[in-house]
Amino acid sequence: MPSSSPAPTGRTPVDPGADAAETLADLETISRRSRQAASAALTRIPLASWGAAWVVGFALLDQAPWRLAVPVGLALAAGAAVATWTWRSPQIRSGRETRIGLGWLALMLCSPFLVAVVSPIPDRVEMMFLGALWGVALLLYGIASADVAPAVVGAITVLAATISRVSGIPHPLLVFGAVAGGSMLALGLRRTWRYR
Amino acid sequence: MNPVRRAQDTDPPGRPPGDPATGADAVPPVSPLPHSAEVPEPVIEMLRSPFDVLLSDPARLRLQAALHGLPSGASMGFTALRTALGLSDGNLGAHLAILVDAGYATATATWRGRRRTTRYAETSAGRAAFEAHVQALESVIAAARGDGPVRLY
Repeated sequence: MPSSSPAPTGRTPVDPGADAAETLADLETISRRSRQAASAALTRIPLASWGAAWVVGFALLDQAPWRLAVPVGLALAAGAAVATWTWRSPQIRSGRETRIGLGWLALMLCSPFLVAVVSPIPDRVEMMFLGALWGVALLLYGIASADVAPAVVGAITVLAATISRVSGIPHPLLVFGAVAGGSMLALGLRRTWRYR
Repeated sequence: MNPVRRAQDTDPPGRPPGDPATGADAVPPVSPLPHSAEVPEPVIEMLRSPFDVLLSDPARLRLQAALHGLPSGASMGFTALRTALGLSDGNLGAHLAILVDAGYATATATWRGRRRTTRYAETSAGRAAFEAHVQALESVIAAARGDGPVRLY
């Protein structure tokens, strides 16, 4: 009987190397998705709420009288802050929710002091300066937590603030809010939908 | 005269009655491991090496991988695990119970009003067992590729 003929039982030969490689690839996929789900659970509501607040708030600052835009903007920011502070995913906990919330609270409390350092500056420039500052914070958060998407949104925010400020485009606050806030909102909604 | 040929008349002892094969055309007896000659010896040795018994179940291994992917201090609930792994409630519950009993995972229950949610996290023992199991798999790959044995420690 030729040696290349099938085994008497008709079974195909075992390939442990290929089986092990396939198993490892499957495990890597599962671990990666688990890690992404944890990142999404932590950030989706804060990103969506702050993104919406920025889109509406900066549009009002650009288009509406400031005696109306500022209180409404502050209310939107307060709502986003409450959503960020109180949101806890029922299914996935990172164990860092409180610490991260305190970090963002510290940034919020320090912002007026930083504005005082660079004052006097025009109100519109002050708004974009604060926006860029928060963009840097988001970029650093993404780097520290190895979460690429928020880091990219943070970088986009810094660039949008810079371009809006130095390029002389019309309606700089409207453009900045749409680009930066829209990026945050889009990422938050995408993570909410993907991990619903 | 009986025309039926009787096996004991002409067949040598030990050969199945009626078997006409002789000499070089004989069919060799079936080995209990017919494919062992096709698997390299280093691979066979690796197959005997420290694969974790609990994690040798594919569903449990995938479950441990899901917990392993979480950041340190993080935990994942039953529903999220079921969605991620595509297991039934009973199947997932049974595997989780085994991992928790073995000390590979912890279960923490929290209450929101009357609603109870149980979240699971990997323990240090579970992390070590999973990483050792993954290393054993990598050794099998290396041995099958002919890279030689891989040091596990």
